[in-house]
Amino acid sequence: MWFLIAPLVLVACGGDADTAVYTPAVSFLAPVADSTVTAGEIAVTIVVDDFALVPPETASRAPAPVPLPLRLLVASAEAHDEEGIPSGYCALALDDVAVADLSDTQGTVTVAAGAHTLSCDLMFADGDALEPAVSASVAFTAE
Amino acid sequence: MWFVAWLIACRPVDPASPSLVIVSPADGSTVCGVPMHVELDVQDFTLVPLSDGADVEPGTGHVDVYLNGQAATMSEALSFDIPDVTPGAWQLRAELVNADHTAIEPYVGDLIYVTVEAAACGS
Repeated sequence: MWFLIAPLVLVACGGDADTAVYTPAVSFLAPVADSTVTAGEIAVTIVVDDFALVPPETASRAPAPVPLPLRLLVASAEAHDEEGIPSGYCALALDDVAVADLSDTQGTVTVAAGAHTLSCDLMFADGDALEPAVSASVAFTAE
Repeated sequence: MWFVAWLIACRPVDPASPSLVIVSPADGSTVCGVPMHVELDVQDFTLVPLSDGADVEPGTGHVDVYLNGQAATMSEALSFDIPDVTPGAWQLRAELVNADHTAIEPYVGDLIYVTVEAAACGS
């Protein structure tokens, strides 16, 4: 009888998943949403979970003896399907204009007086966006 | 019969529920970052020396510590320092994990927000 029950018990209890599931997320700690800051250089702080921040890749890839589309597919797979926590950087934009690539949770950006929106899109180190996209934005005013 | 078997197999094994609280720094406080001193209160969980994770014994493990979501340190002690935390706003998160660094089930952790200022580093 137990040989019949055991599989059902396993299904009912759920097996232990050996593979960690990562759910990258990003949010702004500073500036605070809807706050007023002093115009000039301001501190930017992000909280990034389940995603390791690393500098963007700058080294050029060595050409491979395969057609370009296939080469890009292979490169993308190698860059994104590695085991372990995904990694990359935060593409920071001020009012939809790219201003910096953050590979740390702390940074600065210079803002003029006025209303602004700061946004962060998590990108793989090779510059590809996460799919689905993971981003955050914060609106604030500089005086 | 089937239902009884399911109940027996799926009942909680450990009635004790581990807990973790960040005692210091206080949430919302301004602290020194060189180093940032952290104190925890852990109940119903045995902190053991960091290992290669070969032996995962339920109810034992260590603490993984994150700053702004990024791995900062691991600790087998209730009191430890994180060196060289730069001035600014920080989210400090600590969570209990098994010896192999996998999260215990259910999740046990605590999270606070602090501001690091050089001026908070007294004499």
